[in-house]
Amino acid sequence: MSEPPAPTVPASRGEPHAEASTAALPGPLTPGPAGPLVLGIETSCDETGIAVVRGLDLLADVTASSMDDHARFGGIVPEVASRAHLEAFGPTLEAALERSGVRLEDLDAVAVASGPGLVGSLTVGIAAAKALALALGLGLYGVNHVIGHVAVDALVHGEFPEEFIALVVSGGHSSLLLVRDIATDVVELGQTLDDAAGEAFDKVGRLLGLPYPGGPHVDRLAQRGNAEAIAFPRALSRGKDLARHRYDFSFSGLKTAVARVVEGFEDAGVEVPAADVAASFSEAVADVLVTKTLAACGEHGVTTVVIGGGFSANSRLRELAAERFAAAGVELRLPPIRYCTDNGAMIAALGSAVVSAGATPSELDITIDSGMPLTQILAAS
Amino acid sequence: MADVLLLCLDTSDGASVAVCLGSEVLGSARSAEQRRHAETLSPMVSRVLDGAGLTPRDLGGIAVGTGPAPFTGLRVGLVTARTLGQALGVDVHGVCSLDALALQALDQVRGGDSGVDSGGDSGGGEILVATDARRREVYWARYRRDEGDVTCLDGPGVDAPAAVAARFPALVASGRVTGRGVDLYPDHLHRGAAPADAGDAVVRPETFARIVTARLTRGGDLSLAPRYLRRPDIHASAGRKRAS
Repeated sequence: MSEPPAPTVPASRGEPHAEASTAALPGPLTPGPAGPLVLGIETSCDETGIAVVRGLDLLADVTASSMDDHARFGGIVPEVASRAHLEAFGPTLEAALERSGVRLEDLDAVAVASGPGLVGSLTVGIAAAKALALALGLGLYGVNHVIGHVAVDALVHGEFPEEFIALVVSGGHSSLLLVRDIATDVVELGQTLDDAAGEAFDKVGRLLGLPYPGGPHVDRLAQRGNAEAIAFPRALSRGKDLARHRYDFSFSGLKTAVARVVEGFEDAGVEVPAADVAASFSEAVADVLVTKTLAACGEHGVTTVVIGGGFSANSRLRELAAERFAAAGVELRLPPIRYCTDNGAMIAALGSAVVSAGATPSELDITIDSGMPLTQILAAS
Repeated sequence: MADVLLLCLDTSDGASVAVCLGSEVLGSARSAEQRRHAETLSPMVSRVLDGAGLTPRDLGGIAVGTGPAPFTGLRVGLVTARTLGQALGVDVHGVCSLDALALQALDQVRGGDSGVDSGGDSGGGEILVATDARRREVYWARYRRDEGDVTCLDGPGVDAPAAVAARFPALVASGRVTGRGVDLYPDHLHRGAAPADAGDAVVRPETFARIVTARLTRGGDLSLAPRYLRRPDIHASAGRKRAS
């Protein structure tokens, strides 16, 4: 029952290099004019992502995913994801270095997602990042995964304005942030009280008998349906709930409402109008996300919004945000879909920002923080 | 072959680090903490190297315990060793953690060096290793001493202590069992004679240095595959539950 033997890892990268020493951890870096050369490592869930940036230039971004291994279980299995990270890490690093043309010893710093996320998955990336920092005498920066979803947009659309609102929506997160400085000053305005937006989509996908992960399938189906067919609830959007949870979200009740509707059709022996259910559900999610984001812009006098996270691939969210933000005179920065899912680029981008801001590197004993608060940009020891 | 400076890591039971030149241990450290390997291991490596007046660039190779062990800690050891090897451009060798416990115990057993292959489960130059696998089970393997190394005759496996005892009654009766499982399950694994390990049931990572040296010369398993021995705890979805 033991695994088949794997070959011993051959001597590979990196010529011996005389001056490197780790006797003392490096202090803040003084980046060159093109910005610091930073390796970013992302292993918070089921994607092993490694990227290299120089300042805001993305030089390589390589991702290995264990998503297919989880499909038959209808959700991510943490132990399966952790095992996949261990095996994917070395080859992904090798590929990222090769594509970027950068040698490990040329790097200025290594940034790693240190939370929030799955403990077992985060552990692999953090341990590897520490080994790189130790071996090469590099500054180590443990950074916040969710803030990385925002930071990545700077690689696409350039420097951020002085103040903006960020909406991060994925299978694990739904958060509204006020960002004054991506490297030093992020305020959490609200988040989901239960399911994340992407999680609700995956669950509705299951209700409608669609394959895992349900998000993209529900989205495609919704495009053929009538968004006004069923009036699904908009949680925390009225009265006392709104007053108390102005910028919070809740999608669990919505998911249950969808289940009730589907069961109602099934019990009546009527074919479930899956496209209409999907469209009406998608509308409810997008409506709440966009409405609350715009409200935050109004309250804080902000005219730029960055949307990030895997769920920002959702077509109805993109449409509705574009439409309503334009009407409100708010600039929408929405990175291409490939930068919205988990990847190394987002971590490298945030690493580059904190290095450029002169942050002191993390110590080698930084902890994994599966519940890392969104106001915390850098990991604690 | 000239001796290389070998960094040895094991995370099968706490975290252990040693840096060795041939049979000489230049520095070592151990943490008995059963969690937080990801926090503690690299700082330990850094301190051990510093204490010996060395830098990572001085290393000529890395040896790492491949378990069996609890999964998360095991992965910390493996990804640390593999990544250090990748960054430094040195070879990384994997050693089953139970191999080291067997060799350490056989060093202490009179007659362990006799080289007598008594065959089967009659004792002789053999030893049974049983470590804590949690969930009321032990990781186990049966070994024979073999010219400064050990040869695994059975296992590694993971089973209830009673099942392991039933499979190897002569080794258990003659006290030729080592590892934390002996203390944890004395009713099954500690009958009759005193245990072989005399309280020394922790992997000393420097033992890996001896094993790697022996296997690089004469061959033997140095694979880096983790020995999980258990599948992830998962079950395919049983279908959806009603909401109404």
